[in-house]
Amino acid sequence: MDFSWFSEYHPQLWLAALTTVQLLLVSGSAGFVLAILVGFGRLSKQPFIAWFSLSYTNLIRGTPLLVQIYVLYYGLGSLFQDMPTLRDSILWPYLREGFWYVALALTLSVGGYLGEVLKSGLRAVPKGGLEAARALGMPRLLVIRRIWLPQTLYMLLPTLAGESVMLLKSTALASTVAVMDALGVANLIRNQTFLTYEPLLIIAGLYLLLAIAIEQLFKRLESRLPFRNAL
Amino acid sequence: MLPDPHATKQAVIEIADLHKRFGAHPVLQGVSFTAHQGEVVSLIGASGSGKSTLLRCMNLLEVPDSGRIVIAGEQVAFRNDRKGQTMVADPRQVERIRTRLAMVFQQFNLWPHMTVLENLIEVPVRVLGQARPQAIELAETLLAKVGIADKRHHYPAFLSGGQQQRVAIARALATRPSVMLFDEPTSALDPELAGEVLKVIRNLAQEGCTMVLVTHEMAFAREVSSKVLFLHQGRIEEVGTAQQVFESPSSERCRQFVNAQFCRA
Repeated sequence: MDFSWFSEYHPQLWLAALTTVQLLLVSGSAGFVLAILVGFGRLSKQPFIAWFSLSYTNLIRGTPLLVQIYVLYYGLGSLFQDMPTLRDSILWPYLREGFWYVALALTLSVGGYLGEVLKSGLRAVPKGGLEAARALGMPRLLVIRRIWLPQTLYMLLPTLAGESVMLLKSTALASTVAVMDALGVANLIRNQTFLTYEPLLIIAGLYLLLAIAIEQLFKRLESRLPFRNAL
Repeated sequence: MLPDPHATKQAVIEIADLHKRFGAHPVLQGVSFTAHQGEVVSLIGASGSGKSTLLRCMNLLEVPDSGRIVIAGEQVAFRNDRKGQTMVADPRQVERIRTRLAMVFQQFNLWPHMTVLENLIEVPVRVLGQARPQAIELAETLLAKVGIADKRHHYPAFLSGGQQQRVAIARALATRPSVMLFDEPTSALDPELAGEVLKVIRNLAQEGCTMVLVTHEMAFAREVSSKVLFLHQGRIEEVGTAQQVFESPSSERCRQFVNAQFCRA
């Protein structure tokens, strides 16, 4: 085992780890918001909204994430390239970056998978409490914000932990479109040092640490709910 | 003869010719009645007679197919959707009306992710715009009144059914409603626990709180009600004071129902 390269490459490694975490946070939070919309959309009484939400989750869950990333990066990216107005706009530095295409793809993916999870969670909240909230004069959105969603999320905390770890691992696909995330930099080091295993081992360890950190974070959140037995 | 006790009192709930069907099944077939301020109105009748639906129409948890509902002088506006189904015209109006009618449910329906105190101040603070300290003060007064002040920081799951229902009553009172609606408040409780809940409701009745009560507790209804309605197949078959309905009903069906209920008890 040869880890002599580490002293030379470790600044890049940290930067790459940061990119991975950024990708996780950006697509995790944006995807979460999207998932809430999709979850409620799936339960909507409006036929069009329900149909649209279902089609969306089917599309996202029925195609490989890698294909989605390619479609956005190569498809959308090449379309944008031919638009002079876009190339001159202040958005171009972002649109040129693989990072944002991957972030978008992951966001859409989280929206689809987590949206379906949220739908089941929303449906599992006892109707009586929601009815009581309405009967006491709470407006719809307040019922959602204060009664419905909190109970759903508390109930789903263990699932959310799992989904977050899944998302962390999915971010590794970013390296396929030239993003210097954790796996991206590992590949770079492999190419430059001709070492196969060592960079990969380091990076695997890094993912593992991040995954454990996520699990611990959610465990702590869960243990702080005094009513967890009641949900 | 005594003067009509309601002559000067305001009508808080006026229902006229209410109809409601679930699919092909008619649940309410032209129900009309008025509840005045300070009255305790009990709705009795067999299962499926429409009494719960009638109660749930008052705060629009069920939307009637036709009829008129006036709450505290405000008439509920309805419109038809594209399929011809009746729906409320203005959700804001319904929200406003609901803050005047507080409901207590058979299954308590407390919010499990909030403490007892949080359950009580949620609507006063978030909907009625009360200041938090005042809401807490009122909440603690009410909890003391229903006899569970020491549980204010507990979560509902750690309370007995009777305690939960008393919290639910306090939660309803915390919104300072014009009328309290009770939907079989003791049906999910053991007789022993039902007793403690009935005691709270009895106290409210004695304080002059306006209430509409769906109940199977005949002895209790006879004791506290100023007006009793006997429903049968979605119609009011008998209406009068507790004494009239329980002791000398004009309808044979009502007499049978009441007798059967008392024999069972």
